[in-house]
Amino acid sequence: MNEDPHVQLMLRFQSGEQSAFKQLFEAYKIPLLNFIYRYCQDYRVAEELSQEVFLRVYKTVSSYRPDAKFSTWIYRIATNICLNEIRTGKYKYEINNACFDSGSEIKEFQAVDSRTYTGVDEGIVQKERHKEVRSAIKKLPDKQRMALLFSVYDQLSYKEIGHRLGCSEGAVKSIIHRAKITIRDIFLKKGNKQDK
Amino acid sequence: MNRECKKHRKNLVAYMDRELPRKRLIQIDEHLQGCALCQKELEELRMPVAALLEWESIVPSAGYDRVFWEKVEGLKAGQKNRKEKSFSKQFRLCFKPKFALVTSAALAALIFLITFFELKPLNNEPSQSEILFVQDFDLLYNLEIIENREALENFEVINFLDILEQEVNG
Ligand SMILES: [Zn+2]
Repeated sequence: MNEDPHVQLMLRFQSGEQSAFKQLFEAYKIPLLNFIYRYCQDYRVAEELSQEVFLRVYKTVSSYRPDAKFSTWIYRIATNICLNEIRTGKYKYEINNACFDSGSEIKEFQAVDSRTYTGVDEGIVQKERHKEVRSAIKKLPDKQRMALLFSVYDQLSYKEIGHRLGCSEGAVKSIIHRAKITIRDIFLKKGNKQDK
Repeated sequence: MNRECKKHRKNLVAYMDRELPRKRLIQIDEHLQGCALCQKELEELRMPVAALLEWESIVPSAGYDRVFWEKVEGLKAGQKNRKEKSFSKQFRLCFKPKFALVTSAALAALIFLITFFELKPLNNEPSQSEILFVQDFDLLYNLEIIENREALENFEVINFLDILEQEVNG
């Protein structure tokens, strides 16, 4: 029997207990929202897509089988939604044209600034660096981007990332290594351009 | 870049993530101490990852939960509608010309069954007529086969089995 408490909640929801679904929603809404936000970098799209993930859970409850950890299952849904909706679906245009200076972005930078403020120049440099890293992340190929996000923010093992992305442990290791080199290269190229 | 640098650079990401055998880690440590170029290379790899960690988490907007539960309600209503639509679609399908024969046959069979078998009340309580006049249940249990129920029904009180048998056998 699968002893993952979230799997147990999902099974309770499957047998009709609506409050179990509410608990799962509360447990995963912020992590999922952040994962999707870091992937697409658009606050509104991230909110809509994270809700879409839960709606997918709701719709497929009758066919749910507790084969894996619940987190693995729900993140797999999330990665599929991101890949389908953002890369090819209705959000493609919005994401490609999203501006970095959206309201949420500015608010977030302000939060970072007030927390780590060490002087005007330092603040500006740091702000600029954050902006560059995010821009670089956005340029990573989909799988590299997702794998890197799972590795950095959730500190998952290669094996678990593999389960979420549907690839082998070895493949994940190589994807993450490549992601770190790619992001460094994008970063350096930008830096060199600015120096000139 | 000399040969030593080339050899270690391809392992710098694995070194950064401490994913190499101990012996290799020590070799790279030693090389880094004397090589400013490889140190810079390592720093360039580390910096974007470190900057990623400074990326603060966001929280959902004020209306996030409300909008979501409204979507759930919409989904529930949609599911209910679909079920009803699917039932009425199947019902209408029964009256389409190509299924008319099957539907008529099914209806005829149903009417036949209703007319030939008396409809029993839904509860399993025996009706007064079913109780008959059998007061001595021991007696009833002793009869293996009651072939002529009418004969049984004619008895108001069954006192002795042999009387019953005589009546049944004429
Ligand atoms: Zn070197």
